[in-house]
Amino acid sequence: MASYSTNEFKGGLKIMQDGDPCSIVENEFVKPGKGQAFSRVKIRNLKTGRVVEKTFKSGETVEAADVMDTNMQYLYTDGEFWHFMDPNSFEQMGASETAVGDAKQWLKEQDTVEVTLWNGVPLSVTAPNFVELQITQTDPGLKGDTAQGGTKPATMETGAVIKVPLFIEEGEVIKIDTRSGEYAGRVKE
Amino acid sequence: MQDSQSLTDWRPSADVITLKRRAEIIRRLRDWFYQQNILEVETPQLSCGATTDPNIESFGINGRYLRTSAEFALKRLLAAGCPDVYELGKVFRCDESGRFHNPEFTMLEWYRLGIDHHQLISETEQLLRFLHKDDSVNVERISYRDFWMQNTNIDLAFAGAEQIASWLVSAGIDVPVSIRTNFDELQDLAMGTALANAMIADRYTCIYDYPASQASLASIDRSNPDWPVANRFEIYYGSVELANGFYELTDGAEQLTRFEADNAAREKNNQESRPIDQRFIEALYSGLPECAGVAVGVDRLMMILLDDVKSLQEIVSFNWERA
Repeated sequence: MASYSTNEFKGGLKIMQDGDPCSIVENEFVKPGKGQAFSRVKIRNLKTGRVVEKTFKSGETVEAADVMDTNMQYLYTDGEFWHFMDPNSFEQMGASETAVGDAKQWLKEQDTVEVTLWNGVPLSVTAPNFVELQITQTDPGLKGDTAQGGTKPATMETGAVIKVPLFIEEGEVIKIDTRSGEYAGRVKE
Repeated sequence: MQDSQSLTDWRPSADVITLKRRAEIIRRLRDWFYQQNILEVETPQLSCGATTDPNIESFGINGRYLRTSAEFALKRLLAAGCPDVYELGKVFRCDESGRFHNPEFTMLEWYRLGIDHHQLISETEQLLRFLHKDDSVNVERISYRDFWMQNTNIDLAFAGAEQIASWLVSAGIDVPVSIRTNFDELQDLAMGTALANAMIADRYTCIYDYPASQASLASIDRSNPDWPVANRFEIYYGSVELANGFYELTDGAEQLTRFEADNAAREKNNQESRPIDQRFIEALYSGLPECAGVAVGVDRLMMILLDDVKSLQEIVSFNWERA
């Protein structure tokens, strides 16, 4: 089984901790004068997203996590699984609701997203930073209201509800920043 | 280790102004040693013997080892009748890389005949005042045992590994399973983390009288049977270790025993044992005069003196990743 020594530690390295795949966020080398050296690392559990601090004695090895980021095309959901396809091999795989997490509200069929695989199984799904979605429902806005900067709720084709400016109308396609879930602009036809 | 992007990054990690300020400080350092009548010497960087310290890894090259400090050679000079000596030069330590570490770094090391470590602490303080151009610079002194008492309420003379481990946990430091029963390594973890942070920022703190188990090349004071101490000190600036000094061990047989114990510890840890520097041991047998010596990390010293510099790489022309 592949493993890493502490001197290979760096941000982004994928390791196993307590049975879960983790990613190193930050690594600090500490050595108090003549004594034993340590690596103090912040690691993110890729299953739960939690960040914890761990200490390793220098020279210790940890098991590598077989974690890979791949770009895949979103196909559809059957309610239980979200199905993705590898655009090169055409291989399809289903991701659980936990794996899809918050990304599910931004998933539009045919869109390409980043799927993180652990031992070949989807572990998490990351939506692109920006997505373009059509508005399926919103109350009519008032013309000339642009200056006030007021907002109203709008439902997207994926079911997500976000706040949009009052002048935006039903049927329009808008750009959304998925990191904040905020309206980022109109998409010109 | 190298990716194609880093191979095209040919520029230095320090800027020209910093390099000029560094050169000026080096010139002042040499001036000070000249004024003190301490002889500048150069000793070999590649030697047949190596440090046996399990916590320091040497680079090996064609059957020789790059030095991790100039200590063995400088003491051989003293044993041969040299007066007080100093060396300013590169030393090399595998795998030590970080904000305050570069595997190749500049070390200043000097030895004074006929004085002990307390007198050498005062002399180091004088040098720091000279370099800061400020006579109010002080080095606060506290013994290792008192430092622990003050910050953890643990009296190391009567405490065990368990107490240190639980203190670390209460201070929010994760303790690796592999060191949970190791009294010395638990202390090292504390000194490198929570206790280092207990030192006052922007001030020099000198910790002296280390546990006898951490003596390295220092003599041992056994006058207190409950707490034998190594005649060793460390000077920190804030939480960063700057200097390490000894009232030197002059007993060749004792030094050899310590080196052999180091090698035994190495084998236990699955580390390669290192060839003991026999010529150094011979020099001790022939007679090293009573002396004290200290080694100062020059790149860190530069970081302190040039307070706008935030990491070691900004003070060396080309850091490890660019070398």
